[in-house]
Amino acid sequence: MVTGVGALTPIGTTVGEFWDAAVKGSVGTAPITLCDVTGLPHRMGGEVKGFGDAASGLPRSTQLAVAAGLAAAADAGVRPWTSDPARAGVCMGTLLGNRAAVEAGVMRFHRGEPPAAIDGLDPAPPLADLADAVSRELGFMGPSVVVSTACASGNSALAYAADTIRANRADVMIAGGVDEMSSALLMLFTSLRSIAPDVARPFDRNRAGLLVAEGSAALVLESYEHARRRGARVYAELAGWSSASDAYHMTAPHPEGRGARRSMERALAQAGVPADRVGYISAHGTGTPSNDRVEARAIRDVFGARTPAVSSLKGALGHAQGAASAIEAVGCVLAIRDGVIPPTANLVDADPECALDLVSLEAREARVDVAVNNAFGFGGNTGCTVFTRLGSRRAR
Amino acid sequence: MTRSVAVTGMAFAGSLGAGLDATWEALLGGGTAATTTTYGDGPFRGAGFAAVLSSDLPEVPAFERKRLRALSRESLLVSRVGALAWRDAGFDAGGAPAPADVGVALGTTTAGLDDYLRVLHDGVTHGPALVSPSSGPQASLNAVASELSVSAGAEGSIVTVTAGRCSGSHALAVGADQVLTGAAEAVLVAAVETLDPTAARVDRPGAGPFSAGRGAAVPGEAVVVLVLESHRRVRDRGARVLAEVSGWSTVRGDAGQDTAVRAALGALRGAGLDAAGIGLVCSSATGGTGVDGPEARALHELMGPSVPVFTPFGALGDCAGASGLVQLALTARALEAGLAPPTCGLTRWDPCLPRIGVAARAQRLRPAPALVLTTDARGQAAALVLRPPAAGSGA
Repeated sequence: MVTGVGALTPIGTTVGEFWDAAVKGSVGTAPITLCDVTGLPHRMGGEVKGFGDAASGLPRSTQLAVAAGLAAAADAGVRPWTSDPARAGVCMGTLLGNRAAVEAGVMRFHRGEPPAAIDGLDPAPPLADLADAVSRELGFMGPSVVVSTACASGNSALAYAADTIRANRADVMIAGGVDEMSSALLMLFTSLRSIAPDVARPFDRNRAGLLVAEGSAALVLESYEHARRRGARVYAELAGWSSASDAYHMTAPHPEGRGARRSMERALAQAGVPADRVGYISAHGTGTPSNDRVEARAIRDVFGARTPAVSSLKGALGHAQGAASAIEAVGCVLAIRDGVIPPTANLVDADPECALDLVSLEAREARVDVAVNNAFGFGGNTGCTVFTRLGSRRAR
Repeated sequence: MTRSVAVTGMAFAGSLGAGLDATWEALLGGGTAATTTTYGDGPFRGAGFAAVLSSDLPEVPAFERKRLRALSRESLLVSRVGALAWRDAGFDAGGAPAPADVGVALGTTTAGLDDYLRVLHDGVTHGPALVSPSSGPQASLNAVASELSVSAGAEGSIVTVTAGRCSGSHALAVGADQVLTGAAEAVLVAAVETLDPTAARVDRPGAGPFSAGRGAAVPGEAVVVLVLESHRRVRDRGARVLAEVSGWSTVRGDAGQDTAVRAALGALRGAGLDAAGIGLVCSSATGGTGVDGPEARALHELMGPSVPVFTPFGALGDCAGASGLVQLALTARALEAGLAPPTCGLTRWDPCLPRIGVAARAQRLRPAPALVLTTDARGQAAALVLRPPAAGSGA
């Protein structure tokens, strides 16, 4: 069961702000300010505005992870945690994690600045801190782990957490994703010629790439019995989850969307939900020519020509990497709660190669009993989660 | 209910030798791989004691992969060691499941870091447009697992896990869950650790594990790939079983003995055992600070001084995120040989620690399951119970 949510995004630093802006189709991408963009041809991205405490001594990504985790815990009413600390854990997903902490000193060195001017040459912080810092703040002593499947990491964290609860290794898990804006991230996507010059236009005929973004989100997961015992409010049920590998190429998706299709099929099968009951697909929808075309094909392969309503939040947010599918998972459970499907910002002229029931520019009111959350990453790592309205599976 | 999975393939590369056999023989001989070496680039270039891989296995094909120069050192190593594990499981002779039913779970703490630093170097010195489009993605934490899945054609579930020194142990737990729930027919469980170029160098190693005068642990490199399968599948295909993992636990807490005890008890409970049923312990003590003491106290509390205990990390260096799988591989070999190898570097027992069954010589084992305990100084702890294959199992 999903009983709490927290999110820090380029369109809001609370879940309320985020969701209001997402439903309105507000665009949060803007010129990048948080890291060195010297030499980069395109300099737009999505940053979490007004966030960060330089005096904390923690890398920005760790701060983002903690903020999302604490917000979700407070929302779920598990902060403070008064039960057995060994039965509560944390799993966060990431692409590059807190490695940006080494960037400033390294870049000054490579620019030939005198050694005395180079500080910040600290060791790379442990990646596990992204979860451990959340665990420490909440007093959790169950499993604490960071996972990565690149841009599908948020979904993988949800899957890890759900498996942990299902295997009775924890009663409650906080699961989500985080990544921060960094020069290396921008250089990496620049080298792939994947970055759009102005905005991301998922599924649009004129899409020109993604915009790198940062953010974090966390969801509180617990077993149905545990949630019922403590009288928790349930947003939705995480009913299915799956990952699959394209086993094809490090950066290009399989042209037939093999891993994407398999992830969706297996997650739906695990959820016990037929494809025709899905009311909303939160697409990976990055705005790159290849991803959107392949994803559209995979969705049609699974759902047929009459697809469920599809939208991508990345037009509004940019692509927050390891955080993306965690943020989008929050979007899915709120779509179920509120009966509203957020639009795809900047989608003006739908690409005929992406023939889907696309929700563009304006939100659509619709009851959503089942929402599918797609996420596809570097290395052909794909992940899919399926959220259902509580009781809707058993009501069939 | 006891849950267990079979290990049907195993391959290893470490600093004492290129392969499990060579490593085992060197461990029995009391050798150590630690030596002074220079590593890292740019601002992080420096010399210190480390245990570097004895070979990057250039003669081993990475399955049938071509254009290997696009792979990072870590990706290439794991694909090569993975190919050996694949063969060890008999998968090259027709025993492999369908590609969609083979998963990958990999534990690491450093994967991608070298390439992350290279992206910054190239981006600053040559310009962002000249960052290699093939090497850039190797900077991502999941690159190594992804390349293994591409090499092996593994189209099932995939994940990279990082949890300090327990990263490999978590990967094992993920793989075991996948097998037990039927999400995968077989899982390639891997761990890789290469030297962290940003870490402080060890100028002078301290005394060995559990010894008085311990100091900084020497970092070590290692690569391990296991093949996990269900017992049903093993029976169906008549596979040879190398070991059986029958209980596992991953926890976090303070970096003291209580966390280690909790992990050990969780694994024992999962295996349906109590501490009296254990005939061997593989500890993750390194000779560094923060691990040896809590593990010694935990093991003393659980089983006193009579059960043979060994740690390989005095010889192999601290293998960080690969530690748990390194221990598993060597413990499987110890169970097969009926011998606990000596703990390299053990000189004068630290009088501040309670006595446990560690020795500087090999110890004979009674036939009984083994406990593998892995902890780190940041509060991660993991444990698993390993049983030798049942008599007559497999081909």
